[in-house]
Amino acid sequence: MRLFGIAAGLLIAGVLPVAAAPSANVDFSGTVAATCSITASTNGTMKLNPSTGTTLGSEEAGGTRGSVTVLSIGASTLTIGAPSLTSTPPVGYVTGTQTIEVSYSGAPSSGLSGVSHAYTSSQTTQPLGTIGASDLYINNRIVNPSGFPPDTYTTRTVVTCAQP
Amino acid sequence: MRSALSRLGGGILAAAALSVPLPGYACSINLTSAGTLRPSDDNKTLGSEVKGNTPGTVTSILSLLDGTATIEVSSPTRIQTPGGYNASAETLQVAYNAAAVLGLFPGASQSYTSSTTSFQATGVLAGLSFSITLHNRILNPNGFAPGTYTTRTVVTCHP
Repeated sequence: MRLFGIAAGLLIAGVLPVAAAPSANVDFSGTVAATCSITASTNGTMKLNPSTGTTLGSEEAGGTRGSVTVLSIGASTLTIGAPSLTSTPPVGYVTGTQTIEVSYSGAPSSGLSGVSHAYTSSQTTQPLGTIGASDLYINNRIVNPSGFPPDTYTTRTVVTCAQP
Repeated sequence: MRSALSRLGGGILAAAALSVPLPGYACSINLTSAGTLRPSDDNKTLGSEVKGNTPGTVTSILSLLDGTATIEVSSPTRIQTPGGYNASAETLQVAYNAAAVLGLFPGASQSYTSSTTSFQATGVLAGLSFSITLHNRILNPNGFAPGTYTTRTVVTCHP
């Protein structure tokens, strides 16, 4: 009988295999290429400081900042150029005493949230890694103790992104 | 006597074993095509419906023997990423559409979800065959480092 019990156990184990439920793996593949680009830009506006009359800037009351949208995939270098006056100044404007400056900061909760720089008249660079498209806010100002004769003044900051 | 009992017992056991229904795993799931992922312009989405439509597809066949089967579509998993990828804020999602078969199967659809979902289909005498079109996507506000990414969704038939 003991022999029979062993034989029966083997028999049951043999006829009730545990089958796996049929399934299929559906795979999706894609490749992301390294790149760095400026995908959009918005111009700003500058207003004259009414108290001093010596600062024309985008952070003065009524002014608006400019912005660029930066996309970096892989290691990149973002270069924010020194601002320049691109409009022809009016007669009486003293260019020799002017200082043109730029400041910038990344949009909060974006891939550029840790990027910022106080006003400077020099070109600056920022190393970037992979980020989703993110906005960089840019302010310009002209400080001129000689004042601003009535006219329209335009400054420009060139932002470039490059990869090694 | 011992020998006779053994033969009798063996016969009963054999009959009992044969009367147990075999697992009804005759339904089948066959891969028709894999899908392709592409990055969005802002590099925050990598998906098979980004800038095109390149789904993965499977075909399911159920016979009457299968009765009502449950088709389970797993939450997607990431099985390949390049170095430097920051997955901390990512969300993987799957969406699908099972094509209706007139009078036999009403179809099923699921919008993008991160969960495992399922639907039911009932086999017919001639065999019910329908296709399932699937999409995968990864959402990541941190962007996607350069390289190749692969996601996987498992479709399983449970009779």
